Amino acid sequence: MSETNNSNRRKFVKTATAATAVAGFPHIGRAEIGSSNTIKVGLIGCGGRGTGAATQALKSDDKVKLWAMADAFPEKIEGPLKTLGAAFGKERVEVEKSRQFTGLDAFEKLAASDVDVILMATPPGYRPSMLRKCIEAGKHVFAEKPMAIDMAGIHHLMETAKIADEKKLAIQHGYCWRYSPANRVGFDKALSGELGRITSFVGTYLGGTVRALAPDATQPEGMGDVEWQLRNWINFEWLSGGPLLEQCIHAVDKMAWAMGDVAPIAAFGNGGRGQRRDAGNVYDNYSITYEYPGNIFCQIQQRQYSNSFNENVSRIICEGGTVVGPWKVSTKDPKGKTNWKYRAEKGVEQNMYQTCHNEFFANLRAGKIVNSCEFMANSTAVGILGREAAHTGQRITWDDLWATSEDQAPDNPPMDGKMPIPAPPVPGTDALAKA
Amino acid sequence: MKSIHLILICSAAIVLVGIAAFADDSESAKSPAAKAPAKFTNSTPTPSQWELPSTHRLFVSKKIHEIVTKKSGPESADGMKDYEEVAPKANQAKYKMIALKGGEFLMGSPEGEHEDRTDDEGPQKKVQIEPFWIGQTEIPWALYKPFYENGIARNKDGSLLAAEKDKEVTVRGKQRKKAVKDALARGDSDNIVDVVSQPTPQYHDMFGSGEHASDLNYPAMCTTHHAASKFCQWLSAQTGHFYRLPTEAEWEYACRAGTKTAFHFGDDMAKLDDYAWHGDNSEFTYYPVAKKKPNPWGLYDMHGNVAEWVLDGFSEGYRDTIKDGAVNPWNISLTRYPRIVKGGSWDQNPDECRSAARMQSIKDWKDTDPQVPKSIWYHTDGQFIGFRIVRPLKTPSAEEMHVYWNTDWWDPTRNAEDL
Repeated sequence: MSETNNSNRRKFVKTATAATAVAGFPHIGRAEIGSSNTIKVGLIGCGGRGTGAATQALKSDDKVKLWAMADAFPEKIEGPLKTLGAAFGKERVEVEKSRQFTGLDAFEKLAASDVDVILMATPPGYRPSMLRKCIEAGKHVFAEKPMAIDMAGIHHLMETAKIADEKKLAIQHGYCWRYSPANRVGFDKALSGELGRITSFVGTYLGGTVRALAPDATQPEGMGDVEWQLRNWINFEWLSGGPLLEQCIHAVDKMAWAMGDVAPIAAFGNGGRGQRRDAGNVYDNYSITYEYPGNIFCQIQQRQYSNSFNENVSRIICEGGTVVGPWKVSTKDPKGKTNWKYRAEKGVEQNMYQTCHNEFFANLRAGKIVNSCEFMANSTAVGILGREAAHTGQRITWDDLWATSEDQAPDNPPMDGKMPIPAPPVPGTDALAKA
Repeated sequence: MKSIHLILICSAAIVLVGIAAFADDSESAKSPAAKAPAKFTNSTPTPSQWELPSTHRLFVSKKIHEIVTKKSGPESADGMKDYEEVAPKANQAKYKMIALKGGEFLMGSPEGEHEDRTDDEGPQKKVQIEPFWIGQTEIPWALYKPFYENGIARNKDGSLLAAEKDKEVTVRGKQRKKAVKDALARGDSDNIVDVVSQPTPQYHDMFGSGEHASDLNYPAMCTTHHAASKFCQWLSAQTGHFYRLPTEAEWEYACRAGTKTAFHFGDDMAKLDDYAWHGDNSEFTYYPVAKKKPNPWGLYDMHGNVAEWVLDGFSEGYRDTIKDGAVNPWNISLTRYPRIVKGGSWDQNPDECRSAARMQSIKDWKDTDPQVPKSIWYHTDGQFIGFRIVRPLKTPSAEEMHVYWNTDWWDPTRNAEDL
């Protein structure tokens, strides 16, 4: 896998939206979507977020049809199908039994079906291999965040990005706040220079526990390791990447956005299991300092604790004021007085999830292919940088990170397969895994 | 979303139409929803004239009704006094209820009260209000946090997932169904407070920025109408007093406190800063309850701070159907949207905090909820929405209580309204 071209990543956004087709490569079938054809959409991962993404796809364009669904577990399909059917009707939600795929190979079957666009909302540990399969099958893809949970996955994605370019396939990312009309205006106030030089970014994602295993929860008798872990995926590193990646990646991505999507220099920080006493191996708190060019230091705080202070706020600190978000987007003057508030324009869509899909499908209709795979992979890698710094207790540079290719798990282990749970990382003992 | 059921309010008749029953994967949704059509022949139907919603949960309301009727209260308005009470399940947090003896008042505002007044604030109607107590303040986090951070495994509709308290349940399929059945069967008074449907754990920060969500004196925000109603049921179960949301008529009667002016302190908007946190003085945030001057009856933050849920839905022309002298009119809604919030908020213009002003709820208040079905407990984008509670002097029947607490229960058709 390529470890070169680090210099290109210094400005990683520059390559994010450039869609350059390599001459001579054949374009596979369904890449072209006309201005009036029905768009057949397949959903991989039928949980709440996947059902949400399907909802937004259906609302984005009258001629979008939900055509196929895939989930590892058969019982996950019926509920969402009814919910969506009730909301949109049978003519928009036309998922025949033969197009309901279940099992761990469900995504492959869906990718091989006659859908035009795939929505992917599966646990992120699967993202790189699933995305590759969908791109190889010639589908446009919406992929939820984060994009991977380890550097092997990131390198894999960098290749997928190239394949998608060659095949002229669109990959829409799920860093939802980038589509938020309010935050687009707010971030622009900082990035345009209106508030002077940006001096720092402070992002918090301090919330309650998210689907944490109970301290005494054990694997039911007769259930395979992989199945049990998959059913409780948020609790396991190889599936979720831990909460800095799985949830707080939103704050990390907002930092990357505020920093103009330039690569960080390095990260150091802390993390651990403050409240968790369960059989899983993810941390429940991180506190990371990111170093950026220009002597800029940014702070990210993540926590999933119960009965504790909660806050989910981004602050872009500039010489002439602070931009506050992602809710109640506003600016404060240097003395802390609110001096501007975002006000939604009447009749303009404000739902960021909807904006994401509106733009995705409108671009496809217009023949505009936006491939954000490399951008997503980079932004995810910024999260991995912080996580590895906390796990090892070391200061880790961006270049050091890209020289590694840790692979936490086999690509698609069988449901009844063995999957021992590694102990949570111990800072000062665990080193940055090279492979 | 053509499947939303509608309430048509014709002159002096409420007709429910288009109630479709959709099956759902959740256990609770298999219960019969309201059996349409139900017709009412007077403009202010009492809850007993309703088709009962969510009947499989009626045992909870019945149990609470038993507890309430065992506890004695004043016989008439003459015996009503202000009182302070503690909520045992909320770390003994205290709240104060102000006694209002009821009477007649003029509901709504006259044309021309303000240039931004909307027609639905009128026509003004003379309305009778029966005696009730009302919360001196908006419900603060001190009371609301223990309600949503209840630490018990629950189904999406908030009912208990299993009989075992504090135990994460990993059972599936048939086992799960049995566990739910067992939990429902355990309607004994020892745990009836826990049996009341309560919020499920948050999978995402549901309070938006989370600002001051840990500060106990701040009013609870981002609550859905359903969550506020269930809070009332939860509080009733543990105190033995029947609490519910106010009707719009009760709310406005309490806010006006005998005044007929735009605000309870008069018509001079320049004085609003003394009484309210509103868009021009709030610094874009909310504040601890009771930091401004109260109204003549001692109620705080009736104008501004967080806007407050009332029981009523919104429908065009409803005011016209209220007869002068009507007793506590209530525009019952069987749809999730739109419902009424009163009092304006820190995020609104001063005129939107007037006594008669009203705002309609919209699904956009759940915009940043990433999942579908969306949570029935939180308005992720409703940092300006809270509520206060009332207790009527007259204790209603168990069925009526059930209606008051379940005007917006978990139901696939209603959940589709969120999309």
